Amino acid sequence: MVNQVLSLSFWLFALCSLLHAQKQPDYYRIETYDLPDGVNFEASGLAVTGDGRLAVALRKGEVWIEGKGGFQLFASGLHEILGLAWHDGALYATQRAEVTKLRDTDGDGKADEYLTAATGWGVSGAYHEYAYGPVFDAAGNLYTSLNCSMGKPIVEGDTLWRGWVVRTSPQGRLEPWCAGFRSPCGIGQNAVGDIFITDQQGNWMPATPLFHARKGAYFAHADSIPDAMRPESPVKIDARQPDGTLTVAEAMKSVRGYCPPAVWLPYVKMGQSATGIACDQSGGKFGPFEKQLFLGEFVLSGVNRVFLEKVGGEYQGACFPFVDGLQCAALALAFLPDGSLIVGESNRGWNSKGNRPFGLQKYVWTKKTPLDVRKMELTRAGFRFTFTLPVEKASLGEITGQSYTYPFTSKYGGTELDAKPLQISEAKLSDDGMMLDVTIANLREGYVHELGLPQLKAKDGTPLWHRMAYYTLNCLKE
Amino acid sequence: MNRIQAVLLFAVYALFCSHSRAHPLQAEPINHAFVYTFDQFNIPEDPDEHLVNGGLLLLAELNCIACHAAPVSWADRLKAKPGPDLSAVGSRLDADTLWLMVRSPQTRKKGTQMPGMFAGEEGDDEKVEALVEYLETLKGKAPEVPAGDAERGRLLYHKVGCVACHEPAKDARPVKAPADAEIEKPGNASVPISLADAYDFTALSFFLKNPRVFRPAGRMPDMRLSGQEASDIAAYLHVGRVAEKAVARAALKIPKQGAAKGREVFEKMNCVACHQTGLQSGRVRQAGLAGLDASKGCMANKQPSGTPRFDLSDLEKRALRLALAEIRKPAPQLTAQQEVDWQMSRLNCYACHDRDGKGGPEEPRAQYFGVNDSTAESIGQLGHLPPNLDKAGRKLTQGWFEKILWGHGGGVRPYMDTRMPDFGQAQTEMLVRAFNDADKLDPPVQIDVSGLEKHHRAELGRKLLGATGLACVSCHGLKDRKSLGPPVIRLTHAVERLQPAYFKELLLNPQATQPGTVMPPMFAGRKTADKDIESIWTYLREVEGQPLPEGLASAADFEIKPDKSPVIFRSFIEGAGTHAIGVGFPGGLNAAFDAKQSRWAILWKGRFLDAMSNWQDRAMPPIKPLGTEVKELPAAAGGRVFGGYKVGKDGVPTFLYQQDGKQVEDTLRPAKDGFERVVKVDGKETKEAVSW
Repeated sequence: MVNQVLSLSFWLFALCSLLHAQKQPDYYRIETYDLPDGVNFEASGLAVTGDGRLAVALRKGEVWIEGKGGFQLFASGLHEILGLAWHDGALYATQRAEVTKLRDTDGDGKADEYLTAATGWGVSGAYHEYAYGPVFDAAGNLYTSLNCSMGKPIVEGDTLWRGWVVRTSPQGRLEPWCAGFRSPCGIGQNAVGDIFITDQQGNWMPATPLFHARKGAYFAHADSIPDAMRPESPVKIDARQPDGTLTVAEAMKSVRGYCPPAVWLPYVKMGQSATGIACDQSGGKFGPFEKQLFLGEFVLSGVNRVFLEKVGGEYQGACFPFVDGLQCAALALAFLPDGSLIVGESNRGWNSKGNRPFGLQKYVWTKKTPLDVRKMELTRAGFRFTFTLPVEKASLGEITGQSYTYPFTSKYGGTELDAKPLQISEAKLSDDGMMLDVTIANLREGYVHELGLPQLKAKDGTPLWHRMAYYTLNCLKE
Repeated sequence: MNRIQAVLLFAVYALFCSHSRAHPLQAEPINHAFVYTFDQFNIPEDPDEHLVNGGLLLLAELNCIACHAAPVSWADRLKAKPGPDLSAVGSRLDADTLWLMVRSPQTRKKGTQMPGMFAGEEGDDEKVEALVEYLETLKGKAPEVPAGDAERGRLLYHKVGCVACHEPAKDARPVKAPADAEIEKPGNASVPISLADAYDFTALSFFLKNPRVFRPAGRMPDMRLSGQEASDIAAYLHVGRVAEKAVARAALKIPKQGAAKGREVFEKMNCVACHQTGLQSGRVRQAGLAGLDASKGCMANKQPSGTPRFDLSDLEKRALRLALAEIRKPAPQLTAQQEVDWQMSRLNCYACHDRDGKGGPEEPRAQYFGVNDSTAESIGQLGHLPPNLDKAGRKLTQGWFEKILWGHGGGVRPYMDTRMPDFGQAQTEMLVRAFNDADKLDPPVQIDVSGLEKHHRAELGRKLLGATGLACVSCHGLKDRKSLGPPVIRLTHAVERLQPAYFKELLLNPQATQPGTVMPPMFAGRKTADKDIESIWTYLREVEGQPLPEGLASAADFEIKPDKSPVIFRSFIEGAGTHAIGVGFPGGLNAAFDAKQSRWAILWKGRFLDAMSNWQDRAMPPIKPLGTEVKELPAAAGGRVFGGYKVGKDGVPTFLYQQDGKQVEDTLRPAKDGFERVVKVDGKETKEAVSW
């Protein structure tokens, strides 16, 4: 089934001699799936069934399940599936207008029950009205993230809860949950079931955010404001918000109800478009980053990594580049039971560095441990880096960094604002070489703290894999 | 019969018999060692500075340095080519033909580059006989080939490009020539085919399909014939064939010499310098090339016996004398363009290709090059003549050069009858680099093909290519689609094939880049030219899985046809809203359910739906029913809540909803005059006929 592609450069050379091939360190290898002939396998949703089989949703509205001898068509005729989940003995596929529960009741391998699990949000027919999900909480409620509406509608004004995350009870009752999203393409959960959303740089999104979705939260995209004025809205904000006059750091403090992202992924530096979210709960089968979040990166065709911690009662944390080299844009992410990270790919409508139109690949840990920052925690004095391998003291050189915030604006995208070098006074490596405490005199709330580590080496000689780390500091440590 | 008589008899035979059989292909005999590009590009009026290059070409092509070592600095340039591989020659040619060929190659095969080694010295007859005996022992397995059809062969021979070097037949008129027009004969001499009729048919067919197996030098290139085509041409070459008897050989009555002696002679006479026989043999080295006296040996006016006889013409001798003087000087460093010219001359690429005004087929030959797609007539000679190679080195990617020269799948002009032959990697690989160096533009045209920072570029490129954009699809097809007009090169492999800078150079200024092209200057004076060209490139780079440009794409590509069982398809459907569920039944009955209002919204007959909106388009506009007689159904009564559908064993969906708190199951099935609708409310079933 899985066809090993040993080297990314093979694809890049074979398909486009213009892209420079990148050397992929051998910590994670990419394996490429053989796909059914003649099917545009635009893999947009991934789930693992109760018996451990991989189910893949395609944008063209089909669900395929891995079986003996390859993928078998399970369900078809659905309307642009952009998410798939396995819950309580059934597959759930999110279409434009509905989350549909799919079951095969007669055991012939094909779904014969297409039942409505969630519906009722506005669908005007405009092109941008993508719907993603679902994820389920412990009580069986399901959550769907909905793009704000853009483009020419078919039904004028039918945009209820667009740009929101909505929650649907097991009985099918839909309620608005949190708001202010632009294009919340990734929806996933961390190890304790809290829900996180990736959104796209654009209007009101100066860079790529990772939001912690929780009831009543508001994340800045102003298209959600009219619905927030409805009585059933849990989001309590003002009917107008400042536009272009404040920084994000200022808006956090002065705009009623505004919640900043738990993590900013600085634009270009960390890619250009975050997609699917998967949490490593493999118990170490995927390497030393257990319980962390992995985010698909569409444009650069790879995966980024996020470490989160709670400070002052809310999530914040750091993002790190992780792996790239995929043949196509990463759209959906999921972990397989064997601890490999599967990536569903499609780049229809948007460019990506991996220029295949679609496909399915996975990252498999080669059991070689890279030297990398495992955790980056905020301390009262600065940051504590925890490494995956003990670091050789002699390799510790100068650490540099800066912090910056973003504009709070309806303008498309945004530059880094008010950047200042970090005043780093001390960097102390623990005796066992596993922890580095960095003291910084000018930590700022509402700012991304970008740190460049020196070319560290582990005691066994392994060089540091990724030097850059970006910590979003929303709240200082008490 | 004594020796004198035998020699006389042979001479008489040679004069009168050899060419008496008139295959229609028989060209005027050439009475000197024939190197096509020497004859083509050199005339007696040429000054020495020009002719010396012709002489160098002869030194190389006549394999002089197979026996005479060249000065080191010249060795690579003048490298000998491997002569015909004789390891199975005994299966190809009979003993008499071998005898004639060995005894006097210039007589048996006029124009041959093989020198005669036996002028009639004492013992020569025995040596020749021994060689024949030895060569006869060199047998190979008979390949399996299909039977050939001479008429098909005649057409193929004239169509696929053989006549670029060989003689067009007297009985074959170019397809486009008016019936009363006199057919002009080629001005350049043709490469003789005088051994074809002596070849065993099987061997000839095999040879035509795999010429480099017998002739590794690739001067006779692989025309990429199928086995059947090779047999057809072989059959044509055998038309009117009469086995030639070596009368003089019989008259000589030489006793058996033994193959072992033949093999010894083969080595001693230095046949091994050029010919492979499958045996490891040492070769005899003669005096170095630079020390030769250009008035002696094969260059002498009256050639002494015992020296190889090439039958050099006066012009060839003059050229060789100049060349022999030239190589006493150190070899000059060739420019990349000179390297290209040198190898194109050695391989005779000029027979088909013009480069910078040199070469290309002369009109009497070009008139045979045809097209197999009548719409290609409208692009004139671009449709039927092999392309001009100006700037080829900055046009094609290395990978595509390799495909064209010795790989597969490099052809992009399926409308052209003639084929790009394969001369073999060893003969052509140096051309890839030399072309590239020769044609490099410094600085190259700047093109940004990163495509990463600019969104929607592929889509912009698609629009530009489309019928309402720059309408490139008027002439260029893509993938399996023909263009809307003449069949110029399809753009499917443009990105693999072309260097991006050249792509831009061509589009910005087609006539300056590719004189004679029919490509219109679409981008002249266009402010957004840079961006537009880059967008087109981006689209072509990502064309797999992308929708086709307008004009080439058709909704029919995505039509859903419920041929065998019902098909359910959810989308935005006109008349059924944003929560529509289309159901198409075999037999041409269709319906769409509005899942928002939980009701059947429209019915129609004929074709079902086109999925292009869902499957290809980012914008996803609502789909129109493809069929006819669309009937809109009335709005639903009461409060309804949609619950989904179940699919029966027969593929028919039953829709589920609640109406005023009651559970409803609603099914449409094709019936006699339309549908039968079955509605179950809380288990109670009612049926109605629905016709329109």
